[in-house]
Amino acid sequence: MSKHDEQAAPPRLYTRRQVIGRIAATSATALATVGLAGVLHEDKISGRRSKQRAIRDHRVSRPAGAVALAVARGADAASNVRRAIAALGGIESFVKRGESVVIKPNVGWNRLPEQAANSNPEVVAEVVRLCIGAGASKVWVTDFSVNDPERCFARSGIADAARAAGARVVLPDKVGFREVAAGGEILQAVDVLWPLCDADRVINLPCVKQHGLSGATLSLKNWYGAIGGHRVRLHQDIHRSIVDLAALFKPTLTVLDATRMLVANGPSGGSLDDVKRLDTVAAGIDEVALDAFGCTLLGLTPGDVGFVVEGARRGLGRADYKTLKFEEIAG
Amino acid sequence: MRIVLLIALILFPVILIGWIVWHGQTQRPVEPATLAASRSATAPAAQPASQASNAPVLATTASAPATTPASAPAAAVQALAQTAAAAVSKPTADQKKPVLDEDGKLRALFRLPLVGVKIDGQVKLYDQQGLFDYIDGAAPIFIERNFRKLAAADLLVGAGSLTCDIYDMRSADNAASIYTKEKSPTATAVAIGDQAHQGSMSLVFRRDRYYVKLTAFDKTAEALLPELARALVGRM
Amino acid sequence: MFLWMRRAYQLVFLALFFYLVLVTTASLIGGTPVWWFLAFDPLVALTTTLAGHSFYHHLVFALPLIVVTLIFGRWFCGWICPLGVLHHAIGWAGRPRKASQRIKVNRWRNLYQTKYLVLLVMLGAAALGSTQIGLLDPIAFTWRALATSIVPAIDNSALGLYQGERHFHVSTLISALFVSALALNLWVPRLYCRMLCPLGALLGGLAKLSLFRLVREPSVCTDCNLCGADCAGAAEPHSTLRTTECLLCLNCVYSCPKNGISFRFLPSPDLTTDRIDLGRRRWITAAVAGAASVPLLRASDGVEPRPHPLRVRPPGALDEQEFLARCIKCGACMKVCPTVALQPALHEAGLEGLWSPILMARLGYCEQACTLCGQVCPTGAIRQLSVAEKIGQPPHLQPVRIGTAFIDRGRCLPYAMDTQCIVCEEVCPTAPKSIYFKQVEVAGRDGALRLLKQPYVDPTLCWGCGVCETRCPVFDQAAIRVTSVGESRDPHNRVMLSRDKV
Repeated sequence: MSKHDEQAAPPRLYTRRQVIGRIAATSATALATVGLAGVLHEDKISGRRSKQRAIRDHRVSRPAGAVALAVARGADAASNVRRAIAALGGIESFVKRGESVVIKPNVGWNRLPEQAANSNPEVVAEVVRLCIGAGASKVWVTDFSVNDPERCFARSGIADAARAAGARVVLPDKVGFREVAAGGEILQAVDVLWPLCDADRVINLPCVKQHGLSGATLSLKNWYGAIGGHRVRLHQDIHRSIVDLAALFKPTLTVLDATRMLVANGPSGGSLDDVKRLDTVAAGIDEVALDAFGCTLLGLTPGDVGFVVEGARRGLGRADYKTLKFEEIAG
Repeated sequence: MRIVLLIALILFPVILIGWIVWHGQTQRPVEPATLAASRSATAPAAQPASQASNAPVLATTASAPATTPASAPAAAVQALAQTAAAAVSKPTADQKKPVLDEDGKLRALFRLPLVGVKIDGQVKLYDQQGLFDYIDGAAPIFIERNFRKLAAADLLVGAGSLTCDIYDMRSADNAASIYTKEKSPTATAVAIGDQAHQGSMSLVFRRDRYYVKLTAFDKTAEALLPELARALVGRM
Repeated sequence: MFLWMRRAYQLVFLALFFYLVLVTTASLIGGTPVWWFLAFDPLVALTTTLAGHSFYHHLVFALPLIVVTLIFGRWFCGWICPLGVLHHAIGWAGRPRKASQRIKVNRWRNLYQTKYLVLLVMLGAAALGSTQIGLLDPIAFTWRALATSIVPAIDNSALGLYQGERHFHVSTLISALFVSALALNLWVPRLYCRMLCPLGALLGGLAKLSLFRLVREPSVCTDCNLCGADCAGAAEPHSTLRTTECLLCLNCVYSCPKNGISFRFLPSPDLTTDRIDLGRRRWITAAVAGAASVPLLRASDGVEPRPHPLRVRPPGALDEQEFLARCIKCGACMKVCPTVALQPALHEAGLEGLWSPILMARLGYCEQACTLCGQVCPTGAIRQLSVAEKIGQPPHLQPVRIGTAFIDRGRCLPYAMDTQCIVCEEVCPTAPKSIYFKQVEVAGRDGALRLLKQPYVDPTLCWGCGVCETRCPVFDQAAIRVTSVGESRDPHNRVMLSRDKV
């Protein structure tokens, strides 16, 4: 006998139950492996991990004959906002109690409010206040700035104003992007800031500026701040890209801030000589119409501005804004 | 039990090797052998202005027989060979005068018979300098979109007449860009080519790198515009 | 009888392995499934499925092997594994003469448990999407050494050119590691199999559940320990036989003068052991370490935020995250590439992509009508393209692009040296050509005016094949070079605004 086996007891054997147990364990592992392989089986691996999502349609239904575009003028920007939105039917016709709202102002540039490169902070704050007053469950303010977002939000005064009014300011590096299929003439897919995809209501809050490449930057072009990725390439074919992009977003409401207007050297501006004070706020549901109106403020003919023409051609709205239900409220 | 194991152990490599050999013989890929390619590829780098080294590769491609049993792959190889051969047959001309060949393609679009039209005079080609003579101040918007050549001709349709302007914009993106730029918001879209719209007395379409403006001078010619446009698309 | 069967298997499968490697050339491959050995490998199947979340159809061959291992144990290691055969042969050749010395060298050492930790580290990394088993998996390791170094070395020398002259990027490092692994056998037989091999560890883990095992019959045993003298796996048949280490080489069965070792169904748990004595803490630490390596790897600039310009992947490669989850660095694509364009990366794909394939146009270009790399890839990291898809024939609107060529005007003859060239345009395979000329009048050094054709690249046509760089007469560093920007598989790595993702 081997020295290993000098203990008296003979080596144990498996009991029948243990044998069945072992066979079961082995078979189960084998079956699980084959089964898992079958479930995960792929003939051709397509590769792209990211799933494409959609952007919600944030629009509300409007009663027939409702005002589609309202322009308010006056020295008090907040009052302009209130009156313009009131003319459209009031904020309650856009934001219902308990809904989440994301406001997308133009906070692209590291500029003071007086330099008119971003949306006016008082206008932003008033829109926030109105939404909270309507019972919104949460109001976020966000934009993917061209310059450093933290500085842009600070210097433009929008961060402070929005927070004081009760909104949460969400900087782009704190949120992620979602890949969205675009199916445009140029853009097939873009990365969109996810709050703009998922919120119940989205309010586009652009300002009015001259733009060196596209002629003007208004509400259609404001969506450039909603996307990430390698977006600088859009400038290679700017008008069609703007319209491809704007076609993806269906905001609840657009508030066009023309309190101050940058009339030259846009979109970043800098010199106060290029700023004209207009004390005007326009609001509406047709971005092409609002942009056509905004062009006239800049002294441009809407028919001369590529993305307005293209937007109208593609059915995003009407360039001939006077044919809409249009109301002007003097200050 | 041992016998079973033994038989299984003998069968496994036999079946495996058999399968590998069978797979190797019958599951040939569609592409013909690229041995000639590898031989010519590993030759040392050529001096300036040497012979095109991809010409022999494509020639081999064209001549290598398809060995798959299925007819579809063989047909694909044939098609590929023909494309390759066609590409090869051009190189000698291409190497010396590449520009003329694109012009030749442009002129070929006017080749008669073409839905029964007659050419009044000749097909004229305009390059970047000449474009200003033809369309004056509208030229810059074409030139900044990498316009290469315009082939323009006056066409006669029975008693009627029209002009046909075919712009070679070098790429489909440029053609699309100029199409969008020129298009009037009031025109009606029609389904011809990649994009097309028809207005009063005119039909404009784009297909691949070509942007085409058809302008009719009377009702007879106007009626023919869609048919002419489709015929041109067929050639592009 | 079965001993001779085992030896015959080892020879046959080693020969089969060499055959499959050697037949991986454009002219010989036909439809041969040269990826078979790699697909048969359960570690490849497990890791790429874990990292890539899908089971590629080639890998179905691994499933029967897993089932066989679950029933019979590490049959693969002893009978089939080609690297195992090489280790076995060298270990046998270098074995000590005296039996007592051999018994000593074949003792179990706790250090041999390292392979389980290696396996766990790699599975931990795979769980977070990074496949690194290619570094040590025996099939991939051997494939890579043969493909990039050993076969070219033999071929380039006087023994004749069967595939043409081939050179691979810093490949001596790869074969040096391979030879070192083989050399280990001169110290301890099959040391690699016992201590390092993650596939062996995986199969050993599966062997825990095996239903049939070798076992010593104590009633006839005389304690001569001869069974341990030739044990390939250091399974210690003379004491409690370690089933997880047993390679089924059957040497013990035929060494025992009393025929005391036999293959039995569920033998006594007192005479065999399938425990792997690592301790839960070590398991977890190893797996966590493996997982933690992934963010560490990705915090370097190898993969994010910008792709390396020299990381030009083969046509049909999946997007980079998916690619790194599936590439096992076997080198099959490099072996088959008819123009020696595919090379093992060093830093170009980050540390994570070490030895994964990149196109180095300096050494070779991508042949337009060739899709062989996708045909040989065992894990689907390179998709099998059709030629129509690759060159962009209808119904495909665009070719598969792997990069874009850029002209270095400081080196290009007509720009920098007042000398006419035109080679790059000549060799450009696209129709219409991606390189075109602008004719300019240039005053030479002597003041005489010359008409020169200066080349320009059209990035909307160029798909990055690199033949221009390979053929450019500026021999050391070409005046036209391909970088990865513009590749189809990465919508962010673009320069032009094209019909695609921004």
